[in-house]
Amino acid sequence: MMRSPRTYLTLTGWALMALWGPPSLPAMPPQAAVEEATVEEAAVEDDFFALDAVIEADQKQTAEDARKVAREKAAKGKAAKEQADQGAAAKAKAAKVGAAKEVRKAKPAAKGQAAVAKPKAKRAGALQAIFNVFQARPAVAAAPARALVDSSNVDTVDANTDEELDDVEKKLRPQGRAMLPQLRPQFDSICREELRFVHTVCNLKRSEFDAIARVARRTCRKALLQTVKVQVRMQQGWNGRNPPIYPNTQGMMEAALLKAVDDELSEARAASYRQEVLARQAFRREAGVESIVASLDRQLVMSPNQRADVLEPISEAWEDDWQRNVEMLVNGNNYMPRLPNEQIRKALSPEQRTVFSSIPQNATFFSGQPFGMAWVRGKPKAKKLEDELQFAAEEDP
Amino acid sequence: MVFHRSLVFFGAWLFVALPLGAQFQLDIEQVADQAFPKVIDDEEPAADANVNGARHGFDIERNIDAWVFNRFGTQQGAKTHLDKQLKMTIDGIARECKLTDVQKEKLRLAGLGDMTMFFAEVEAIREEFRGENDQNKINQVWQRVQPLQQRMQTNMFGRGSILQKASAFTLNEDQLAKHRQVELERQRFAYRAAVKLLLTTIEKSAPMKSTQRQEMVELLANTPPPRLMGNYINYYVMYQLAKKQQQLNQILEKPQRDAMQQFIQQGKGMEQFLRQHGYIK
Repeated sequence: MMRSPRTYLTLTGWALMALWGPPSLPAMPPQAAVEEATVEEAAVEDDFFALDAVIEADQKQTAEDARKVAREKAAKGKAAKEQADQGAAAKAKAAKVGAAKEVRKAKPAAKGQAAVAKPKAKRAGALQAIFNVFQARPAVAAAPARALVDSSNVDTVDANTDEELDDVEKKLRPQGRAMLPQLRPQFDSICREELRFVHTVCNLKRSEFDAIARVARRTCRKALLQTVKVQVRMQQGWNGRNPPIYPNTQGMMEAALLKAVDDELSEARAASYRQEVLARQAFRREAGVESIVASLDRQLVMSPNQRADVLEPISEAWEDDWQRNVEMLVNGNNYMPRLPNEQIRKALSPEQRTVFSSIPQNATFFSGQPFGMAWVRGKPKAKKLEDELQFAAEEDP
Repeated sequence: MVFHRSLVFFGAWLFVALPLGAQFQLDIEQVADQAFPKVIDDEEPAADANVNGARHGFDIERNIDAWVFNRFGTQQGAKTHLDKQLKMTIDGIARECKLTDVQKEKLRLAGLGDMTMFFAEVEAIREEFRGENDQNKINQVWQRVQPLQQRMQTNMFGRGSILQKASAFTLNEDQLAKHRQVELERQRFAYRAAVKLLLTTIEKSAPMKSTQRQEMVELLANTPPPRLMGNYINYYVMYQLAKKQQQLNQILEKPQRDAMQQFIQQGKGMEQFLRQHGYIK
């Protein structure tokens, strides 16, 4: 007796499991990590028993498609009939007679094709479903495409207290936890030097330092955990959407320290620190813009006036995130960030425009490196920063 | 009917055998043969297959082109790009110095000489590794190819090229002085940008005050620029930084100098590398 493929599959599967026991699937990740995983990852892990649903869905889809085609054909036929009625009677009659002849010729061929097409479509659909799951691709209807967004939506650590950060750290995947000892000295060093810089500019009291240091260390830890999450995703690969982007640690520290300094210090002292931070940001922008122009100049051979004309729109369009691209640019990567092409092209000759068009430009989702070349080597400092610094007296204004 | 049965059989075996892994000594190919006709013949591994996995050969010659010509794809693509670059370079000189047609033609021929020599070097490397498919030779190839890749990514007709040397006897005194001034300005601009970029990277480890930063920029930007403005310019800046220890003591505090040590140490070890790649003599 003929049974459907679905029935054969189900029976065979149950029979084999009865003999050998259930298949040893990879261990299910802990609940938190499953929630963390994308829709597609969860679909793959749990998909062994969803094959029936796949085949059923495929068959339903095939039937739905066939119904849709039939509806379209009927609509077309109705429109054609109306057109024929409106035309000259003789023409319509001749067209009918001619059409009837064609149909009589085509019928046997179409019948044969349809007879082959139906089962083929069924088998092809079921087979594709098997291989989709086999190749660990989502076997259910894909989740609606997400717009390409900054990965802060995916890898951002949404934690503002030490307890919340502890919680995030506990929930890291094992490979992430293994990275922490390697990355922590780098982040500790950044935090240490930023705090030292605040003290150098503002001459802090011990109490002020402690309050600001709490904020700095919390922010640094947040950046560390975010970096670890990005590293883990880069190792495991991602599905092409929301590519991993390292957090802008320096930017995060600056923002957090500016706020902490505003909260803890007098207006005058906070203003002096703010001035230094703004000067640093302006310098970063200047360095980035000039590096981009210099890189363009190497390829386009611009005059001094052209360099100035090109520098201005790039400076206006500058985003802090471009820093990542710029650092890679210097190391041999030719991927520019997304430049203001229209304004730049106005300053160039026709040959220069042709060459400029061939220079690849990347959206700022390029992951870059977390610190460029600024990796710390060696052991973490043994002495605490608080023990190194000389603080202002608490009684001082 | 036969097809349905074999499909179910094959699918069931796949889903049970693969998750169970080593428990099943399953010959998937035998099962597939029963369900589907075999259409692909596996190649026999090369007799001299090495343990690092070069079982199916490795076309080094094709990789040489990919590495050297990079985003231009093929030699023809690279030639088209270099033709445009040559025209832009000569147009640039003409703009500064008001060249005659004879002078333009002489410079164009000199530029063609640069291109011919470059492609000859690429062909020489191709010839040397023709027929090689040993993946272990990749490093050797890369060492040879890397300087050519660098030249492809910068302006081939810049400092040190035949075109620039030809300009010395093609242009008159005034024209030459103007041209050299413009080239020097271009180089200084690029070098200053590289200095600033390195300092932004250093500041991630050693934040500086505005006054300190400005002094550092002036200190490093006034060092002699490299012979070549390529992709390793940041290493050249580190090399110069390493030679300025005394001045650093006056500009920076000890903790800042300590935080900068990794850059200084790296710069100290760069001399051989920079000489090899043409950044210093």
